[in-house]
Amino acid sequence: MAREVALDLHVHTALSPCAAAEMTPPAVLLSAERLGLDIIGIVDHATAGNARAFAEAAPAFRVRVTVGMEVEAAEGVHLLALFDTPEAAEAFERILRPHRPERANRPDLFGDQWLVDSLGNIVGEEKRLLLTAADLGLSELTALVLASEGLAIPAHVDREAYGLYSVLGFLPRDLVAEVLEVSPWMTVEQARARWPELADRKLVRGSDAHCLDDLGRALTKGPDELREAPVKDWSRILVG
Amino acid sequence: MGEGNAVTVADVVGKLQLKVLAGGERLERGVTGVQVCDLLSHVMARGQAGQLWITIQVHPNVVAVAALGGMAAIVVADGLLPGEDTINHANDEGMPLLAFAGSAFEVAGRLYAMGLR
Repeated sequence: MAREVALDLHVHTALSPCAAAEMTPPAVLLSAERLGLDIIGIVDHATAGNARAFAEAAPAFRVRVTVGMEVEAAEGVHLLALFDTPEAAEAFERILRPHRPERANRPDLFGDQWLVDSLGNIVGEEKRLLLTAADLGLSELTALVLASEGLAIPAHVDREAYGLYSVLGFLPRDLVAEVLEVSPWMTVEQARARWPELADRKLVRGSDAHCLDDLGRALTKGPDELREAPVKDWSRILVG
Repeated sequence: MGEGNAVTVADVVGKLQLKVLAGGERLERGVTGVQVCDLLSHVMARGQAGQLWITIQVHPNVVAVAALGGMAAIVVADGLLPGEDTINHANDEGMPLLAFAGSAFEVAGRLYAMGLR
């Protein structure tokens, strides 16, 4: 049987206000490697600000780094947008930028938003609050991600807060996303039993890691082919 | 007001000057109560037949959720405008889809003043 790879496509960094400052490239990549993760997705809220640092650090580890962001759609549903390169992720962020409110972060309320380099040094701070929603709906955002050759994954669909089922009740008829994420608090089997309509979708389980200890608490196994294939092809390759 | 003491969707549309975006042929429905909520899962669980549903969600799913519960109409508050998908879906379902420029609070307050409980 062909070798399987382990994926965790939902990892926050020190840039997300809700995540720990320890979530820097060397620390995250070392932990991921030790946990046997072959591919990780670096997704901060609404920004790819640390994507380049992670991509630069990645070659020193046996981990493929895909980058993107976790976007909040107008409905209040979270969507993971993943890309192959930091350039693609940054280009998507530029598309998203005018669709989010200009509101300053209050670190005392929401947490620090640290920009880091590939060695884990703090090199700056994102001043604009990242925990805000876009004025684009889930289907518009999904279309934009796909047009940018990305992979769009509704995040933690089972979660009460910002999860698709809680906010929207059921799978929208026009939802083109073929891959959906289940949180660490539910298994893929439980999700399929609870929502039979997911039968024709691929499911992944992500850690939604906000600190190093969260890494590894949920992962997805997939074909070895994922290691090289562009993310836009993953919805075909994934088996879950 | 409609016949007797019953409030109809048409009464509400007239009184609050709501814009009818879809389902205009079903305004004779009686309104028995009001729900104010933006979490669709919550409305799926708690929405009741005959209720007018005030929300700021404009996703097409609101139509199915309202239809599921046999709700009287959907009022989209705060000047938000549903897209064509939602409007078409509401027309297909015969679900009145109404828009109000003011807040959900104002809609609710005015409905309360009309005697709805």
